[in-house]
Amino acid sequence: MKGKRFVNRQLQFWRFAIPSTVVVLSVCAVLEMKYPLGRIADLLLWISWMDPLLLIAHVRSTLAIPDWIWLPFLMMLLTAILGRAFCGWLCPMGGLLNRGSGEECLVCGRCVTVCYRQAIHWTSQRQSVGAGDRRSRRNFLKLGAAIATCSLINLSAPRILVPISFVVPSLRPPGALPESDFLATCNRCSRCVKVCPTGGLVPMSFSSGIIAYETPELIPRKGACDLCMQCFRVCPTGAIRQIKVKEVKIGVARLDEQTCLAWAQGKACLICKERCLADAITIDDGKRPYIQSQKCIGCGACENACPVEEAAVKVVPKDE
Amino acid sequence: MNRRDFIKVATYAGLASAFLPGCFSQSKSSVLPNQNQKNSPQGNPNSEVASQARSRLVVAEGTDPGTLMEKGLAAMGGIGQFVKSGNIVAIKPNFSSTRGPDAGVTTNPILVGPLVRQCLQAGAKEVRVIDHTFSSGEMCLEASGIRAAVTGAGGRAYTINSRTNYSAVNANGEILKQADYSRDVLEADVFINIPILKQSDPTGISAGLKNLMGVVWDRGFFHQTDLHQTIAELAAFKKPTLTILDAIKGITANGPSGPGPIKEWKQVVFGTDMVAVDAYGAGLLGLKLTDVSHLAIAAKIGVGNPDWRSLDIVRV
Repeated sequence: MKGKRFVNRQLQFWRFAIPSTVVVLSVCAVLEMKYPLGRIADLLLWISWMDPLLLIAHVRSTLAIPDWIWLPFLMMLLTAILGRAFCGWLCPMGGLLNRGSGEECLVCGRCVTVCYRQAIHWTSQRQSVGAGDRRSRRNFLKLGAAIATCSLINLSAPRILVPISFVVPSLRPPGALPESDFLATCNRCSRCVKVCPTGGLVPMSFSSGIIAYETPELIPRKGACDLCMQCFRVCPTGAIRQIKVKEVKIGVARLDEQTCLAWAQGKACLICKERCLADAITIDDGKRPYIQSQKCIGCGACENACPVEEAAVKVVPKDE
Repeated sequence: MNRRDFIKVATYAGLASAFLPGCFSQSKSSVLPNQNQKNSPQGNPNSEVASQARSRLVVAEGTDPGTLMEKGLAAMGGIGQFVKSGNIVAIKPNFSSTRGPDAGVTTNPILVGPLVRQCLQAGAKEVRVIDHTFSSGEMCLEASGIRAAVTGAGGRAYTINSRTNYSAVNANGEILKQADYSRDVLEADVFINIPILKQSDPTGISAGLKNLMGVVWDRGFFHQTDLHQTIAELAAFKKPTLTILDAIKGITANGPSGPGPIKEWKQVVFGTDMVAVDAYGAGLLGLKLTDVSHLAIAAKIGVGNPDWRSLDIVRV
């Protein structure tokens, strides 16, 4: 009896202590998620990697077996043995729920299994409905409507709401997978957005379509890519691959000679050349800039700096 | 919790959130001295500098940057000529690029470190090393080696990449009528300009005058209008107490960001007349004064004297 109480108390303590530690560490990790990346930021990666679904997405996109493959399997094993290994023991929310409202039933289901007289059984809080009601025509139509609505998700909002010509392909972080793979793999955690030192990476808005919603996009006018190569390091899914600085090709810059100050007004502006990280802008004798598309990496430094109201130089996605 | 309680809590929380930020911003502004009370932009320390130092152009030659800084400042009459006890010193190197010190496009960190140390030894209350960088601040501070050098010497290196770092001033130029100028510089008692000498495609040379574009917010305006004219007018608004030109090495083509061919001059040039220092630098780059019109304009509007040969040249 005494031993059982001791175990119970220990269990209660650890069930509170572990999630609390995870909360504190996660907050620290989020705060450290900036350039240069602190070591504790890796913790968030490990937490994400516990998810077996993420493993599937990762393997599918990279076609390689990651060295953390043991982690999701371990979690599954623990869940099979202990039950709710993540939700009950690691997830900050679960742990706090356990503590915070001690009076409420957590629906853990232990009492059901423990009761040797099987006196406890599950029941819905609502009035139970008969099996016949559930298969009513009304419910069938409801379900049908719900499925039809969900299928619309595959269409981007602009495709439904605005003419197709307004749909602009977006600039993805350096090392991002091809667009369709990227959309399938990215889990919209926004860590790359948080780590981006220039603030150029932003989550896409709802108006860009529900599929692209919250995926990271580079807006050079907000901030160019400075090639810090931190976004792949925080990406848990493999949607942003590790590439070398030399391999970066986010897009390609296009110059509008109609509005460029050097071309249209003969001014020795050349701010784009000054900022170019790739040495991709050459000038002629008249101090007019030319973009070498081969060398351009699409970092957007030129677009970011262009003093013309609507930038005379713009980065467009590479496959356009 | 019933509805009444919920509404009460929400109201209190709303009121608290309205007042709390105010508290924080107040405490912040008390740290920053009120810039209206500060000296006029023309800067008084210049007048305190001995006339001997004012008519001097010191050229320190050698390979070790630390020694060059020491020799040069000694030949200028010591840092005490410029920095008095209790002064706030603003130092403006060029650390705008992430290419690193070897690329010859940013100021040598081994020059900046000893300068910061000397300022502190002369009794400076605070030494701020600042730049408005092209690339993101953290990366530039790291890659250029400036942060490591400055922090090691006891100063503070940071970027002024946010609009809040600037105050609107009347530059009263022909084109540059108003500018958002660095508050860190406006507040400082002593302003030391320490550019690297390099070639620059839009302006021919990047040295002292061009380096001052790193203490204004809207550089696009300069490029939009007339670079040479606006650079000269910006220089006329506030002249640095001392200009130290890092001509140890720099790129001679494809500037100002490079990569470009690097030339080693193994010199550091010291002077209180920024135009003279730049004119000397233009000579090192093989440019004639007529090639660099911002220097000519600056001379015309009285920023300084481009005829550096008329100064008292001290080679150490």
